[in-house]
Amino acid sequence: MSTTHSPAPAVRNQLGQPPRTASRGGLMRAEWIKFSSLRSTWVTLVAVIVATVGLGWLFAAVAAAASSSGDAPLGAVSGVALSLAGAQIAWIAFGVLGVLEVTGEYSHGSIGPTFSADPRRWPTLLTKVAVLAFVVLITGGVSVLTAFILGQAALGGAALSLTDDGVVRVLVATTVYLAGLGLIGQALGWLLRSTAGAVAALFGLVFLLPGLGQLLPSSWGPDVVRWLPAQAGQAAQSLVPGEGDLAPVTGLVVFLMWVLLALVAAAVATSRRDA
Amino acid sequence: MVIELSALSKKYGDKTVVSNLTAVIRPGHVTGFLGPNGAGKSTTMRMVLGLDRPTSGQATVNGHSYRALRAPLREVGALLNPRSVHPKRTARAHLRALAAAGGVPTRRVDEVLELAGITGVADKPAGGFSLGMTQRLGVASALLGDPGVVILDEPVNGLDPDGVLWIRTLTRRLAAEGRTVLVSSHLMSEMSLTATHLLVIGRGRLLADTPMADFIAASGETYVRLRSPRLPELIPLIEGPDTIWSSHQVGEVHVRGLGAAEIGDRAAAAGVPLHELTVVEPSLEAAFMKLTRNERDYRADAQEDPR
Repeated sequence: MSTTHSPAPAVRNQLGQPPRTASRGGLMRAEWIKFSSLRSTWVTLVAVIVATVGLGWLFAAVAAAASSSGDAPLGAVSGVALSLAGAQIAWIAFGVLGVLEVTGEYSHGSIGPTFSADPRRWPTLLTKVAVLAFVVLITGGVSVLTAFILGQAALGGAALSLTDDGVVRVLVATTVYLAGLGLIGQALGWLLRSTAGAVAALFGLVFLLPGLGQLLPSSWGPDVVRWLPAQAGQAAQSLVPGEGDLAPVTGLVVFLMWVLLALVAAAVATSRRDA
Repeated sequence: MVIELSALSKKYGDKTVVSNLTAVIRPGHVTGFLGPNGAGKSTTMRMVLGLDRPTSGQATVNGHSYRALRAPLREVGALLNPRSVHPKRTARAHLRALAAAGGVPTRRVDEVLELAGITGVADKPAGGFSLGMTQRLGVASALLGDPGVVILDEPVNGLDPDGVLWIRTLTRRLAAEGRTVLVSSHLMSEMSLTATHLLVIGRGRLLADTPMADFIAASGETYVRLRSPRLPELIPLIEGPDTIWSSHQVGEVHVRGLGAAEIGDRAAAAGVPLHELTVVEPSLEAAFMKLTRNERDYRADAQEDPR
């Protein structure tokens, strides 16, 4: 390396008195710099928007074409679901984003400096939660809303508007679901510290767990399955609640409780364990 | 600005990594933290930084446990694992994030980049850095908060000669400015050039806590190495009640108890030529080997120096 030994600036400089407490704003800026200084973050977010809006429009347009040719008459209810089809895939991207926000620090060792700057740790955890929630709610909300508007435009005659009964609830619930799975991904990242492990756990939670629930006796199995995170979260996402699902608001509350539980477990484990 | 270890211990399951370590690391010195690989140096440093929890005992900085410090980067700066930056993140972004979290003004980022000599690569992703540049970025992170306590774990690892010299100068200057500087190494020669005080550990136990000079003096004695083509004539000249000589090679003797000047004078008076007359000071390395002979986790007896 070509480094000259020109006189280095003095080490002792005038930084002023140290702050008495680490500032919440400082942590927020730190986490935002970390989040936004990786190109993969932006690629993921753009991909989510494109996929959500594009897929929703595509599904709606194909269905509208089939409907107008008389193959498959289209109801308004499935029209909303069609335009939000992309969101059912977008959660994967948000979940993985949540996982990576944390496991990236563990796998590259930057968790050491991070916790050296904030030895209590939970403020950092809380800040990462806030940054992710903010980004996913904005990105997810914009994609979901755009997907709905474009999808309904493609549907033509069978289209619904935002003022129709339950539409806003479905859009909000879908956005919250996306953010919630991102946060569960982050919590799993804190708990498992490994990208592969946390992503696998997240997929298991959403895809595998309900399937295992099917193996339970039919007399009480469904009563368990409907309370699972993914099932509860999806209950509020259809215009007309599905049979056997929790009521929309109950489902959303139960889902958020799961998110909270995951984050509390993550905070407790993280502040107790060795970094 | 002191680091205090009181009966500090760390166990992982059955394995004791750090055992009952008590020491005070004071300002104004480069304190060398010396021990074989696996002796518990890094674990001790991680406990000082609140990253690992002691099984028992405690480590404090300025009388507080690290976790109780509210602006820790302004008081303690550390380089533990140099590879602690996201490879896709630029050096500048890494430092800016750390500065924000630590309550350090952003302008300080440019200063430490300059200080570490990596301003030219500040906007490149850290993943492309050589080990030497990564090490320099680690030192830049450590000095970010202008801390009174500086902890460097194996800072010269992977550095080129230029970088090694830089670390030596830097650590000495930091100590001269009145800071508490704790530098770990398994390289004894490096320690002997920078440290003025030594903490030696082996298998997690404290073996020595002493000024560097005392450590060396206590662990060996000075002797004179003498080579001459006419040794048989020379030996009678230097023999005496206080003189001990031993022969290790043909034509060479080690003399204890008689100074080099005296030997030289006697040889000159007798007209015996000398090919070498060297005062051999005990080395830190020899002292260290002697002290840790039984404390190394992984002994390689075959390679061990027969002395």
